[in-house]
Amino acid sequence: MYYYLYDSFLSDKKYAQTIAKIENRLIDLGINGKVEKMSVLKSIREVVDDNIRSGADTIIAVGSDKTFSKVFPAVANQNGVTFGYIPVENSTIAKMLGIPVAEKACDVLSARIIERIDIGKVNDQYFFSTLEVPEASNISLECNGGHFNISSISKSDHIQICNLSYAPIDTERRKNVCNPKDGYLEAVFTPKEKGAFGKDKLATKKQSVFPIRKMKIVSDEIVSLVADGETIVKTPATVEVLSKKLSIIVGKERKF
Amino acid sequence: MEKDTETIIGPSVKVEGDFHGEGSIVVEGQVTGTLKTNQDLKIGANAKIKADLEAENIYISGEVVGDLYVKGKTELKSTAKVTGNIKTKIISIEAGASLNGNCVCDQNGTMELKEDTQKPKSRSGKNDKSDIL
Repeated sequence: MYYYLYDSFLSDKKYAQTIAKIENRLIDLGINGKVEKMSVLKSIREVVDDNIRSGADTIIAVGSDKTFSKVFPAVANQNGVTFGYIPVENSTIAKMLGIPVAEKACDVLSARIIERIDIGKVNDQYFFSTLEVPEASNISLECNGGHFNISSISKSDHIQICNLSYAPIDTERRKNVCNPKDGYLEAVFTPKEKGAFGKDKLATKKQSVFPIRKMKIVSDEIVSLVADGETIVKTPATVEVLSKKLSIIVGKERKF
Repeated sequence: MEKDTETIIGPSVKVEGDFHGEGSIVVEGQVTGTLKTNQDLKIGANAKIKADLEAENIYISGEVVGDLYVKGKTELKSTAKVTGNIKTKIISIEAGASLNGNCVCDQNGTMELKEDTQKPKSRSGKNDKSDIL
């Protein structure tokens, strides 16, 4: 049984036509199901748990990448439940997953190509794509139980922990960087260099890439890490990959 | 780790401790401790290594202070500077490379090693775990 969770912003009139088209297409394909709208008064986790108990085996987030990031942790916690996504506007995550926008996404859901993919965990929070480490001095990554640690020499590298990255990574040297099915997170250090007009730009050709399963991010001062552009976690933080944790419906045009 | 998984230690990064990987490793930055992989290890011209190295094949263009234990081929490019002992199967040294240390080429795999050219021990004093990253 399909269960559709609409983001609250879809109540806006400008999305009415898009939603109508999506719902019609779902009915045509025979994959319509229960619909619920998210609100600040309802906990997403509780709503998802209740519906799974009622027999839902496919949870679909309808909205934007933020909606995706809010809903997938609740689904990843459950066994035997598949997650799907219908973006109503241009979406980076949808592109990576090979899902087109709005009603066209319904055809991808109907085809049900399911992949089991990795997700990242930072302390007790899940993240799907990237954990951003802000620029700060004396940040280091302790890996393999503290057997070695990695740090930036200049203390000014842009550091990301990626599961599935949209950031530019030097793909000439490393094809298929940040494959969310490889059982690893990639710690990516990108140094900055002076570009035109003295502005800093990222030197992707000088990137460092470390495939790592578990690490601890430590710093002299408390630093806020940003997971999926939304969740904030303070250092020290333990980051690990949860291998093949999420069953997700993807399109043929997926990037991994 | 998948076969094509590669670790890149770029010029802006420093690694300290016992670094053990299973994929190939490219080093262009700084490494202190031990560096071990069961695939290829490439050390770029600007890399600075103070570590014992162990790999299937090693290609060196930069500076290494430490012992090398190589199952296959060791290549020292013209810009390579190695201070340490090497135990390898095949070695290739370009004109201009410098090597200060003993070198044992054991092509048949039967040659007994001298103590000082045996498999390197951890420099950092930590336990030598074969866990991957």
